[in-house]
Amino acid sequence: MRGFAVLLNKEIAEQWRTGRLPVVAVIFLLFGLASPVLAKYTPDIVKLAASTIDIHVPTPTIKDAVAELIKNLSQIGVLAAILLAMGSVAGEKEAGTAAFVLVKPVSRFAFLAAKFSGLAVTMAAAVLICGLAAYLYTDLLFAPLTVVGFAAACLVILLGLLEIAAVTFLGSTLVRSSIPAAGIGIVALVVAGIVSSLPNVGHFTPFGLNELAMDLALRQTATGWDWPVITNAGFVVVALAASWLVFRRQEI
Amino acid sequence: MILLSNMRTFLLLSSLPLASQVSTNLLLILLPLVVIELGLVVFSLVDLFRPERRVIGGNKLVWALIIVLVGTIGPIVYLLAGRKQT
Repeated sequence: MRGFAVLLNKEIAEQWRTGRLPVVAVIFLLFGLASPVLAKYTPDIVKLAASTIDIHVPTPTIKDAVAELIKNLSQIGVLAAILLAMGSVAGEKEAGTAAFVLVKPVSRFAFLAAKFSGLAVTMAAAVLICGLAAYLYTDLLFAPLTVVGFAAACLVILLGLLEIAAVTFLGSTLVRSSIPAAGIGIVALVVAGIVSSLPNVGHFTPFGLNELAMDLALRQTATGWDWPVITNAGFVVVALAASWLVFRRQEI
Repeated sequence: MILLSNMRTFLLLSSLPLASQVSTNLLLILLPLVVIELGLVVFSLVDLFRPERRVIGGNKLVWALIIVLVGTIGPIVYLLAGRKQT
């Protein structure tokens, strides 16, 4: 791991300097704040918009607030994960900066590890900010959630996002341009979406983790969580290992 | 998309004669959301029209339309993937 610490510092500084970290944090903050609000007031919006029609809309509950948050994060969060990861290696190869960095005394493994770690730090900071905002607004509009359960749910959501980011990162290692890398991430997303609808195996996809996150946030416990979490974490490791196998002998 | 169109519908309804049905507390709750969403659009446009800014595809007008017309997704895509790093 020669040079890892230096490269990680450079990555985090770059995430900040290029505005990616603050932008992702603000976007996640927006959706963290918006989710409980929308869950609470969507029935009122529907009633106001269709005041001449008699529509029965059930009273929103805290479950709706958590479901709205998870739904938004599995759409916008995944989009952000793909956009962040797509250029992480491919962009540097395309611009020639990867070759410039790798002539210095740093290993290729450290280069890749620092790249993904920087990405993970950005995603983790964004999920933390989103979680804090959602927790505050859910408390304000509905009732307080248990801190431990909600924190565990946020970690599970983060794992799902990192999984999509890791597959896009693999794509970014395989190709020399950001757009095809994003395409690989989107294909992985579509495949995960299809597999998640299948019985028995759906829990082992990033989308399958949403149900687990919901249980953790609302009940603080979840049954049968171990294998889905282990499998999804395994996918992250496999994607990163594949990235390393590709990158270690790749002509830059 | 649905999320933001809901939000805009709600804000529109709040600003019309129905405003009396909306409490001050609710407007205070909504204020950060409006500030953040508008802030993202304004920040993206200011960044886009900086003379030294280079964008993917090279056409700033197209990006301006994406930022303004494609809801919250537009600024997100521009800020995370539309800018060429200098």
